[in-house]
Amino acid sequence: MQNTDTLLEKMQNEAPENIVIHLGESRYLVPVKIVKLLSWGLVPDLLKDENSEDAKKHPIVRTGLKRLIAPYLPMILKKTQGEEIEIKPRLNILQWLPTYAIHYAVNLLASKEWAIHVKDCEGCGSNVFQIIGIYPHSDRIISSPAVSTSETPDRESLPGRG
Amino acid sequence: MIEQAAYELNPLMQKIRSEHGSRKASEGTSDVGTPVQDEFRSSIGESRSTSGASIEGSPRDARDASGLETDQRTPKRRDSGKGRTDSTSNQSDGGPNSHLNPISRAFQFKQTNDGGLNEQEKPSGLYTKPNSKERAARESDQSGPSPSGQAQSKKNFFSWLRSGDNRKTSKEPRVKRTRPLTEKEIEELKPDLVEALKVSLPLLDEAIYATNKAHNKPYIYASLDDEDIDKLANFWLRRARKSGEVAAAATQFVQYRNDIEILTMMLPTFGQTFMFYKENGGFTLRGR
Repeated sequence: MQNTDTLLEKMQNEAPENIVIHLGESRYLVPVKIVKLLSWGLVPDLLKDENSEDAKKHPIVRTGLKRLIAPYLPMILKKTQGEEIEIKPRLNILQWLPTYAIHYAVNLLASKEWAIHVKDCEGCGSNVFQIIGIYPHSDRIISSPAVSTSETPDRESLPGRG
Repeated sequence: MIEQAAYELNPLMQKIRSEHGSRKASEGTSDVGTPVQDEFRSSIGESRSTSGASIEGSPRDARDASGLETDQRTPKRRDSGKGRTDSTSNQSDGGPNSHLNPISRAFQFKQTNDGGLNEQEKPSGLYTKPNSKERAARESDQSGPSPSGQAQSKKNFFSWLRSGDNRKTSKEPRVKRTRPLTEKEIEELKPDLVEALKVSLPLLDEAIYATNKAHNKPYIYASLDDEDIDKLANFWLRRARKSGEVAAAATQFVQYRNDIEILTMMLPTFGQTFMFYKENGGFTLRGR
């Protein structure tokens, strides 16, 4: 049974390396680690660092958030992982939950290729584009049966073994 | 009776009786009434001084001894008065009987010296009325013990049932009270208290897990992180700085840390054992 510590390690180690983005005719690879790092920087210090000045200024907010989130943490884990996850005692939930959320969200993004549709921004100047939509790039997604048939020869039993 | 017979045979006494005997008898019978006794009881110290004066020979005694006071009583009445053991009449009048019964006089002397409050030592008649001091003493005896004394006796009544009591009242409270913690003691105690809280708080979740009907594992007390536990310990130690009992609780909690660790080990085991039986159809001793 996984616990909250092993779950983070698994999400960090087994994540795809890049997020694939199609922009027009071009294909871009964005490293997952950088995306995660940038996302972590967006989390306020009040939540992620208990020794920060903001955290010391608002201890009641931190305590209130902890008490508010803690009862729902088992349910959140069960919904996102599909199984029971053992929660380690004395888990710093305000630090752990943003970390888990970033890992989960970035890994979800990296599990697919994305197509970004843009158009020229009128009145914004030259070479300035406006994003009109982000969609999964379905043409590039390899279906699971195709993967399994291509890997079938590798799964055949070796001679001499039952 | 033997002493009385010796007195009757004494020739000197017979002579005295022949000269003054009629007065003694009349005084002895005339003092039988209760007012005289009450007067004696209410002013017993004063009567002693009076009787002492009568021994030395007061003017009234001298007058009595000279036979100026006449007696109209019958001899039968005199005889009955002569046999009385009530020394009050003898003392009050200073008659010959006051010299004849030294034991009784010594007894009365002791009474007057003691204040005369002891009811058992005091001569008591059927119609005697207690004086104010005696009344107060009797009322205090009849009213019984004070309410606080009753409460104490009720409290101590079953003390012999307690093990190792030896029927002695133990006045020590259950929790040994200590003085509040000082700043230095707080600094020394805080790390141990934090560690003890870290170990013991998840136990409460284990207890809930083992006792709820669905045996769902809760995430309540285990959700308190290091920051929360630190705040909890600070709160406890702040109280311990002011209260000796809270300080004693904190020190004892730290001392029981090893016990808590054993509980941490065993309590989940008991819960898991129970869950194992439940998931596998319960307990049985039958073979397959």
